[in-house]
Amino acid sequence: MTRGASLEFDRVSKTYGAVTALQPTSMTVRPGEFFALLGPSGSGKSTLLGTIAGFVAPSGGCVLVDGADITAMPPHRRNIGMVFQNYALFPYLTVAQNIAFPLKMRRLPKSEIAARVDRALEMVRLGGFGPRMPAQLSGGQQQRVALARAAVYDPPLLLMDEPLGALDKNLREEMQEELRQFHRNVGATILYVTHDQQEAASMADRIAIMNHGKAEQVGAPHEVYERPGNSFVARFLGEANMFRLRRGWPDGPGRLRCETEESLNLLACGATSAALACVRPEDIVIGPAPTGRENCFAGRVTDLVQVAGSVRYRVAVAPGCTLIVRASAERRAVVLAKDDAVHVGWDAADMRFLSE
Amino acid sequence: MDAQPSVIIRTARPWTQGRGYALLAAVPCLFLAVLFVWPLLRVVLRSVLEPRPGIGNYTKIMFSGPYVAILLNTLEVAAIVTGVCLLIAYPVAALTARMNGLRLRLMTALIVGSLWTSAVIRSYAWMILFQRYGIVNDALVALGIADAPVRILQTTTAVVIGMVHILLPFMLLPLIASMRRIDPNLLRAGRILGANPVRLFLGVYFPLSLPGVHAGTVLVFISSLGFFITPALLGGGRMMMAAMLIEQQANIYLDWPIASAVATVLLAITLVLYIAYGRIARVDVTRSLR
Ligand SMILES: Nc1ncnc2c1ncn2[C@@H]1O[C@H](COP(=O)(O)OP(=O)(O)OP(=O)(O)O)[C@@H](O)[C@H]1O
Ligand SMILES: [Mg+2]
Repeated sequence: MTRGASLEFDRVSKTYGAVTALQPTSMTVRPGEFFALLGPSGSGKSTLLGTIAGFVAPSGGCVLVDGADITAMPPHRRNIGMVFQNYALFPYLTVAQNIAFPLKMRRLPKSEIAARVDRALEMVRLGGFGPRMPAQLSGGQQQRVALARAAVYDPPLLLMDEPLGALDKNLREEMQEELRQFHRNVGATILYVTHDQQEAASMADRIAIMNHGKAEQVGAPHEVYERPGNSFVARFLGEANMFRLRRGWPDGPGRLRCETEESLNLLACGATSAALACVRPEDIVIGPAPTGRENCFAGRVTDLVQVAGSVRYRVAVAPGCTLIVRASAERRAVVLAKDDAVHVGWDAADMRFLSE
Repeated sequence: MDAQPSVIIRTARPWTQGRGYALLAAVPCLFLAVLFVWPLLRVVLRSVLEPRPGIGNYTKIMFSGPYVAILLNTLEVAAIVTGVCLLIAYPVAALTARMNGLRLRLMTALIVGSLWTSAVIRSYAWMILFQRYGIVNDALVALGIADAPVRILQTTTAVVIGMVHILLPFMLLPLIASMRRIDPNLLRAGRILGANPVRLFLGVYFPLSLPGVHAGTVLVFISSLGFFITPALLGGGRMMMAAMLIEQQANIYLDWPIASAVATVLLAITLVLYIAYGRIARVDVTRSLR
């Protein structure tokens, strides 16, 4: 088992002419961590990954692996593994030759290359596939070959740029499980790029939310989900009902009463000068009778969608203010229909304050 | 409930895209058959039917006269021209393939534009440069490389230079096309997997450019086999190639059967080489042109 490398970005930035692909970014990835970069298209995820691999020369700052500055080192001497979105297998080489490629570059003896290739193929459950050409494999199989090729030389750091992006949903979920298993087995640090928040949340120890070439927030997935730092993070990770606050005043010990732009009166915990507050759809209870929560509103169901295991309602509570409410299936004691008059409510503790 | 017809009687063949294309292809096919295949067939027939039926023309080619030597010389020149073209075109194509926008268009214009000047004019131009008291000889003497003007015309060197000049675009264009299609991620993968620049070229770039190499090589080699004007002007008299031989037999000796037989042999050699090459390289040479 490899010891994972630590990784540090020190004010790394990248500009292409007038385009800023990456604002100065500082971040630390711990040894052996599964770290995901999550963000919309064009947010600079691949650029950040490219600075580690050496494909992108940073315009400023430096990248440190295990404390050593690698910014000026050419890619072939960095000893980093990488899996690409379209797998990037060499089409003119067999599966075994593909996996042997990095070992040949390292001038390992023939017998050891053969042994290691066999072991790598076993690891990704493709024993016996060695003589095939990549084009003769399914997408999932090619992906596993790419993984074997990236791991066969035991790099302490593995980069993955949307490795499951080209697979269909079921296969993707299967591969997610496999990748987690893989991470436990090899012990390398993994930096994983994705724009699928579900994927990031289910696989990573920590995630960084990227937007406009900047890491907006870094933390464990549940932390970031429960305590989003700003409105972008709150919206990007799951759904959020967002309120723009007009003013607030203390109301009892540790309580803050706020007035929203729609003139709703909300009770929240703590004191803040933040401009926004949000509540997650699944923290809101819904029913035909008043809910008895600290924040309680009457409204009307304008829309409902059944999704696996829950129902997603839209409830209009004031002119220009529609809340999204997610009720899990077993809570749905009373069946609500469109245009029903309902009551919704949530606790003050479920309110989160956000910056813009 | 409406009853569904249980039997569907098909009155016409369903239209498919393939059928539409087949119709479109009919006219050019007819054109080729009448103006290309038929004359070719007549050449082959004449070589075995005249002056009397049999393989007499072929035994004559094989066992007498300069025919075999000239055919071998043709193959040799074609091979040299192809090799020289590849050596010159490969780095140029690799650089061009990395260009974009205006530079790429300029480069393509230069390459394609060179096809607009006729081979005759360009061969005459070389003749003037290469003649006994031409610029090249003057330069050689002035630089002290040669003591006196040397013979350049009527040598293989002159013919090869002239043919490379004309055939270079046919090597460049498929090379550039296939190099531009190389997935940059494969090169990145090679680098991060540990390949230094030299091994990256040998292990990744070159194999990925092979379709272009194959296509260019076949195009240039086969074109060289049938080249006439350039070898005639630059090699004239002392340096003979197959096409010149055919022309000489037909126009000077009026021996159409022998001319036909030589042409048929040249055609057969071309076909055999093309098929054998396709087998060895295991590529569809038309693929890289798509
Ligand atoms: N070679 C380049 N020249 C100019 N701009 C570039 C270049 N590469 C990237 N960019 C720009 O930098 C920004 C960040 O790109 P990047 O590829 O890092 O995004 P990403 O987060 O990986 O997006 P995706 O999810 O679509 O892969 C984008 O706005 C992109 O247009
Ligand atoms: Mg990307």
